[in-house]
Order: sequence, then C-alpha cells, then structure tokens
Amino acid sequence: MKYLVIIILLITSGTLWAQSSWKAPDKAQKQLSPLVFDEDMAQQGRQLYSRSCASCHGTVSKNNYAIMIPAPGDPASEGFQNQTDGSLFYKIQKGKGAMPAFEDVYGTDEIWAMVAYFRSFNKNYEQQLMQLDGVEKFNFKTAVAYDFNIDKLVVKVTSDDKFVENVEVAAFVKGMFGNLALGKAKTNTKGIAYFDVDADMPGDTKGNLNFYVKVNKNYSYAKSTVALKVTEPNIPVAVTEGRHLWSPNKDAPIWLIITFWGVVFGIWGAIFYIIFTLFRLKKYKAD
Amino acid sequence: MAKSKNKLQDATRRKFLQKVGVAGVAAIGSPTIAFSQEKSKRIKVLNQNNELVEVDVSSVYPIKGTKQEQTSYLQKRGRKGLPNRKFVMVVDLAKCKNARKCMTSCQSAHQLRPEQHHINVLEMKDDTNGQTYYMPKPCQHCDNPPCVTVCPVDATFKRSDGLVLIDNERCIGCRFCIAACPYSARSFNWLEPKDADKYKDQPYDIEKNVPQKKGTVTKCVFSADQLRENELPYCVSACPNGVYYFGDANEDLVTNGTTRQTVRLSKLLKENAAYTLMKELGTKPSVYYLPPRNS
Amino acid sequence: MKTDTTYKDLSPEKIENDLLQTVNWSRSHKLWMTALTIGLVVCLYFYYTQLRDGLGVTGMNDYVSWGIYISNFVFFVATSLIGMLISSVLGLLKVKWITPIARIAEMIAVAFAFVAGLVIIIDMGRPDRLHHVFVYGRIQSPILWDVVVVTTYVMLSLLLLYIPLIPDLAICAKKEGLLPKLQRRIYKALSLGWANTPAQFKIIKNGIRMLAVLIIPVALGIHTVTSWLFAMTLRSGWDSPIFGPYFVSGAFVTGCASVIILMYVFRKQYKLDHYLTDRHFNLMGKLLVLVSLVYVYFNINEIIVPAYKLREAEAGHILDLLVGRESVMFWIVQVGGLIIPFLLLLLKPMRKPGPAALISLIVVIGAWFKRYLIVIPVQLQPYLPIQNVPDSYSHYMPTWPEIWITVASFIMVIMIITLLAKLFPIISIWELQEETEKNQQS
Repeated sequence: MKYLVIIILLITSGTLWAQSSWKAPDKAQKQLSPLVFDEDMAQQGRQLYSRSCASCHGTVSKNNYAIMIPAPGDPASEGFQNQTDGSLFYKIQKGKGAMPAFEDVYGTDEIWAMVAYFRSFNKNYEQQLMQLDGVEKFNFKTAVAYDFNIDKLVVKVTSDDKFVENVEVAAFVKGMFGNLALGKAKTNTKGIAYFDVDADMPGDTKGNLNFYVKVNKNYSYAKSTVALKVTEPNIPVAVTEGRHLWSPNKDAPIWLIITFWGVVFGIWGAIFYIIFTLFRLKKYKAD
Repeated sequence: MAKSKNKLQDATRRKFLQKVGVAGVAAIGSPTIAFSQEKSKRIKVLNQNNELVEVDVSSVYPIKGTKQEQTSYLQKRGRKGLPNRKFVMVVDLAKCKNARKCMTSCQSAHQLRPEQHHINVLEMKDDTNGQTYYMPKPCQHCDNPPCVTVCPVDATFKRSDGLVLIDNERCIGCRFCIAACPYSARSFNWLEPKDADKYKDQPYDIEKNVPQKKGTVTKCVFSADQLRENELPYCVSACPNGVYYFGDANEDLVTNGTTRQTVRLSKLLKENAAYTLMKELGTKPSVYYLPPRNS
Repeated sequence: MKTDTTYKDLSPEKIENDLLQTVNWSRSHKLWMTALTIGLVVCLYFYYTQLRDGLGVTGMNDYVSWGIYISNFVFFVATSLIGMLISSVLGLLKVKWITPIARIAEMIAVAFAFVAGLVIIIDMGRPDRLHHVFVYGRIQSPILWDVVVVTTYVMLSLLLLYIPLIPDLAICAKKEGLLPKLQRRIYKALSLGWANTPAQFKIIKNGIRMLAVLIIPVALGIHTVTSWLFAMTLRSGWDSPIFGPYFVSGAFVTGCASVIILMYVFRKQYKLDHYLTDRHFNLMGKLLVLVSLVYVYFNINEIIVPAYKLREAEAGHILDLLVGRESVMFWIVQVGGLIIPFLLLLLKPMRKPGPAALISLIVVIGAWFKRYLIVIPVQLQPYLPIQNVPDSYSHYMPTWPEIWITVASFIMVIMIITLLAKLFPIISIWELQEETEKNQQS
C-alpha cells in the first residue's frame, strides 16, 4: 500500500514536471556550449552533480529523485533530454523556486560539464556545435615525453608546426578506474609545459606509464594518450603464486600431499591386507 | 633510466566531435536509457534496481548457447583473475554517515534478501571515548583467506587479482567457510532466494554470483562483473558520501566512487594512518580503513 | 544371597545355547522394529520438508550457521570412539573381563560412526552435490580429512566386528529350525569356510591384533579431526590447541556410559545375567570414573585458562558460559552431567547394574548438551557485532523439524544396534568358550 501511494505520487509528480511551465527564454534556449562534450567533461559534471544536485535529483537514470512537488525529475528522463543544451544550462544557472541558482557557485564551464554529464545518458544525443567565427582556431598537436634529466613530463604543443604559447595543459596518469591528476600548467614561449611525476609511481609490466594530456586555448582542444617507459618493468607476483593451504587442490603444499596420501594408502593398504588374509581361511579348512 | 632520454614521441590522436561516452551497456546492471527505436536485438531485463530496462542481447549473454553452456563459460572465465591486477578497497570511516546506499545497491545487484548482506554497515563503539562511528564491512578479500582454506570442494577460491569468489554451482552448503570467517562476511541461502522464479532461466554468472541458489553460500565478490568492464563495484559507486576508494594496488591508484577523484594508494594509506581489521589474525585483508575522526 | 555364577563356571554347550537364543526373529522384535520404522518415517517427513524448503526450516541463521545437527554429529562420533578403547586398547592390554563387552562396544562403534556420516549429510545445504567432495575434494580442508577418517573408522569397526564373528557365524549357520534357510546360507558364506582349525584361529587372531593396533590412530584421528572442524577456525572459543584431546577424553565418557546402558538393556532383555555380571558393571563404572576424571581435567583447562585472562575476544563467550545466557545449561551439564555422576559412581552400590545404567543415561544426556555448548554459543559471539539482521539471528533455538530430524538419527542408531543384536550373537561365543576352557584347565 505504502508503495502504491509512492508510485502514484511519482507518476503524478512526473506529469507535473512534464507539464511544468518552466521554460527558458528563447534566447537562452539557443545557447550552445563552447566546449565539446566528452568523457572528461561528463566526468567533471558527475563530480559536481554528486556534490550539489544528487540530494534532490538522485542518481542519474535511477529515477530515485526526492519526493517534492514539483518533482525534481531525473536528468536522464525525456523531460530533461528533450530540452536544448541552452535550456538546461539556463535552468541550472538561474534556478527557480526550490531549484537553486548555481550562477554564483559554478563557472560556465562547470555548468556545461553538468550538461555534458546529463547528455552522456542519452545515446541519441548529438551535440550542436558553436560557430566560432572570429576566434583564433588552432589545430593542436601534442608531443609528450619524459625528460630523465629533470625528471619531469614534457608536453610540447604545436599548431600547424608552430609552437603555441599560453596553452593550458592538464596532464594525468591513467588508472583503471580514473586518472591521477598531475596538475595544470601553461605552455611557455617554446610551447612546452612541464609536470612533476612521483618518482615511485609504478609502471605497468613493460615499465610504461599511460599519460593523458589535454590542451585547450580559445575553444580549441586536443587530447592525447601516450604510454612512456619511465620505470623498470613492474611485473607483479600474483597473490595465487606458490603453494598455500588456501590454494586449489592441485597447488596443495607438498608436505600435506605426502602426509595425506601416505596415511590414506598406508591404512587402507593394511585394511586390504587383513581382508586378503581372511580369504586364506578356506585353505586351512582342514589341519 | 637514462636510456630513453629526451625521446619525444609524437602522439596525435585527436578525437574531435567524439560522441559522448555511452559508457557501455556491458552488463545487465549498467544503467541505460533506451530511447532507441531499434528493437530487433534488444530484450527487456531487470537491472540491479529492479527496473525493467532494455538492453542489447549481446550485452547480457557473453556467448550464444544454452544456459548450461553459458554458465560453464562464465565459470571458467570467472576463475581466472584479471591479469596483473590486485584489487584493494579503502574505506574512509570519517566520511560514512550511514546512508546505506552501498547496502541497498549491493543487495539489488546480487538479488539478496533484506537480511542478507555482502556489505553491512555496522555501528561501532570506541571503547576509549564512547564515540560511535559507522563501519561498512564488505568481505575483506584476505590474502590469507581462512574461508578458502577450509572449503572442501574448491567452491570458494582466490583469484590472481586478489578476489575471493564463490561458485554456487559447486558449493555443497557445508557452511564451513561461514564458521571460518572471523569477519562474519558470508551469508547462506537458507530458503529459496529472493525472486528465484524470475531469474531461473538466467545463466549463472560466477562473477556476480547470480542467480542465487538455495542451499549455497553467498558472499561479496567486489563486483567482479563490474571490474571486468573497468567499472567500480556497485557499493563503491552508489555511495553518496565519498566513503569508498577502489583500485588496483599494482598501479598504486585508487579512485573514489563518489567524486571519482583518483589518488595514490600508498599516499592515502600513509597520510591517514590506515589500518586493516583484526590484523592480529594474520588474514591479510585487501580492505583498508581510514580511522574515524571528526571532520 | 544370590550366587554369583558367571560364564566361567558354565559348560561350552550352555554358553552356546544361551548366547544363540538372541539370534532369531521373534514377534516382539518385529513389533519393536515396526514401531521404530514408523517413528523413522514420521521424522523423515521433516527431512523431506527440509529438502523442499531449504535449511531455513531449522533454527540456524547466518551467525549460528552450525546448529544441533553438527553438535549431534560430534556427539555421534564421540560415542563411536568407545569401540577403540574397549576392544583395542583394553584388548591389547590383555584385560580379560572385557571379553563379553567387546562386541557390544563394537556394535555401538559401527552404528554411531555410520549414522554420524549420515548426520553430516543432513546438515548439507546441497546433499545432491555430495559427489563433489570426491570429484573436487581439496585435501587442505578438514572436512575431507573427516570424510576419509570416518569412512576408514567405519571400515575398521566393521572388520573388528566381523572378524571375531567368523567362528560364531559358523555356529549360527548350523542352527537349524529357528532361522530361515537363506539367512543360514548367508552366515555360511560369511563364515568363509570356518572349521575351527588352529591355522584359521591363527589367521583371525593375527587380523584382530593388526586391527586393534590400526584402529587406535584412526579412532584418535576421527575425533581429533572432528575437533579440528572447530579448532582450525579463527573463532575465539574454538581456537584452542587442546581441542583434540579435550574431545577424545569427552568421547570416552559418553562411550563408556553408552556401553553401560546397552549392557543393561541386553542383560534385562535377553536375561544374560551370567554373562554381563555385576562385576562387569562394577568395572565399567570404574572405567567411567577414570575417563570422567580425565575429561574434568581437560574441562578445567579449557575453561580456566581463558577465563583467568578474559582476553577481549574470548571474554564474551566464556562469560556467556560461566555467568551469562548459557550459564544455566552449562552448570547443569558440568555438575549434573559429569561431576555428580562420577562422584556417585565412586560408591560401590552405585555401580550395580540398575544405578549404573541410570547414572550413565544422565551422563549421556549431559554429554549431548555438552556438545551443544561447544558448538553453538561460540557462534553467537563473533568478533564483529550482529547488526542489521532480524532479532532472531542473535540467538539460536532449534525448530521442531530440526529436533525431529535429530530424533530420526537416534532412531537409526537404535535400529542398527537392534538389527545387529538380532543377526549376530551379542557376546562372542567362541571367545567365552576359550576362556572357560582355560579357566577349567587351570
């Protein structure tokens, strides 16, 4: 019964949201993100979302938003996804009623990151890109290397074979579940940015670290991933190596195998010998 | 080290207009919104929140074939660890506010009854100052696992990546592992598992330990099915409070399930005076705790 | 005053007649077996519900995951150990008075060890996967050791029952009239061409001696391994290095008491006063005092060492037993089931058949609850608190199905012993004849 009430409430409140008259102004609706939505942006959006939005809107795509009227809604729902990027951006920025305005809390890039995060749940979404007339565009190329003289990661940024100065570079070490930030730096006059890497950072089995760099200036972007051999090969010994009491039967400790089977065969050998002697009883039927 | 000095490598893999990460509907549990009109190869399944979602057939069953063939395929694959990995979890007790999202997401992912816990948030009391704190307690995935030692049939086993899993097609239900575990981390299917009818045609996935089976033991598997997809475990990503870090000790990197911030494992443990539960028992857990403190 | 005639004064013919009278299919026996069978079938219905619905029909839960099935298993294994003490240890020491008791002890050993094997299957969540133990067995697991050692012990006990029976089987085979022809043919086949020749005697005596030696380590093994099912875990309260000898010494107490009870039943039922004499009860009573003293000694060690220190992990469990929620049962079992009985048995009148059997019955019941106290309370004191589970998880109370299934295991033991007592002479005929001959010669 309790669940039924909740379900009805959810359905009606969901309709309320869909019918809600909150529309962003036309001009705002047409706003486009100057940034290309990518996984990193969505990732950044996810962090911001969990910090500021999840308490009402719940976990995206799980429809577990808080029960309020009007319902906050799930950002992965059609009600959200059918809006333009500009509309979502506007609503986060300006707020209305119970929905706070995040204008003063987050920068525009951060709000776009949240939009990117929402869009990551929509397979059919294709981003409409901004016309960047009159802005200097770059065709970035990055070269990444490790300089053992200064023990730093070196990122060289060029565009059409020319060094680019003042490009913001962010570098990371790629991990299985996320990337370790090495920091942000701007390129110098030679188009080079440096990053410190912990000396004791373990590499993979070949001694490689997977570096991931992002460069950005005036809405032009580039990112690249490169594996560099910076450490000795790190060949981990699997915890299952060797013979342990907890190993599977085939890797049982030798002493145990010998003891166990020795005792079993010893005792059962004796048992069979005794049974065997019993069959000799017939032979001695007569003295 | 100086051999490869100054060798600049040109790496120009740029991906403009990359279609935003549709991060895989690889497992049944992964969230997905099906706006797609194409219905040909899609089927409806229940995800870990018991929502009916549509996913691609191929994402549900890794191979074609009968249920038994799929089960054996998954069993065989699941017995081997992911190569060169060693998974660890770090639990920051200072951040746990007893939200229990880890428990509920775990229970729905693994089709558990409400009283069955792969992860259990315990209210602990500090003897010295009487302060209470909440301690999430999953299986510790010990490197000297007492439960695996006593198993008579190799039903519960340790993989090369450190995970302790259980094969409930193998388990005979003797419950010796439950008796042997000092962390009370294991649970038994005393009765027919929850919604057994609903899942009875699913092949058995050893890495998720579903569908559950009556008369067998069940336990935390560090969401091995998620790890195969480079995804964090269910409990870790469900936490709203940033309690969990999870990662590969061989990389020395752990990622927070809430903020997705990635940090050095060794540094995190060292700077926060991390400890393991009941170190004196010599079980060598893979789960570390950062002490509770007022933040 | 009653004349104390014993078998030593009787003629071989009389002995043969007296002891063969129990081998028959009397009406009362058939009725008794029918009653037992009905009881068993009723109890097994509950096992069927357990198979159908799962082990959830018992009172066990994720914290107390081993309940009275396991304590019952421990009790059965313990009781079966007496076969080794009496026919092997005392036999090798050439203790003469055990001759008429040895086969009773061996019947107890076979019946209890065999049913112990079944009891452990009852406790399995997936009995349909029993073969996994043989197909996928891990020799690191104490369960595998237990399977091997229980099987070996049943085999050795069967042989130790069978080999001394061979000459008697030849006698039974000749017994015309009372027994069906088929049964006598089976006896004849089982007697392996026995013809009382000295060479044959030499073979079986050699066999018996070998078995008597062999069974000592195996019997110690069966109960030590059973204790290791507990001691090999990290649970405080089970994690004790003296668990092996503690279990073995406890086993002799329940075993001796069971033999006394069975001696009393047979003596009354089959009028064997000349064979199971007051002297035998007197001596068995003394033996029970001896093994009880050893067991008391181990109990003191097992309790007082942790109780003196009250290390945090062990304190909960020890205090539960001594003053906490299990204390009533604990003190009744220790004082009423062990200390008072052995103090009483120090008095000669108490070692008469009637009182001795009654005291033994109390000892056996106490011993069963003692196994309960070893198995269950420890699990209610895990290292980490019991939380977020139903309230029922923080205690344990066996359910009716569980109790009836346990009763079924006792019915099976009684059925096996009854059958053995009906199929074969309860007391070894040839060994008694041999002894009386020697007696008369000297």
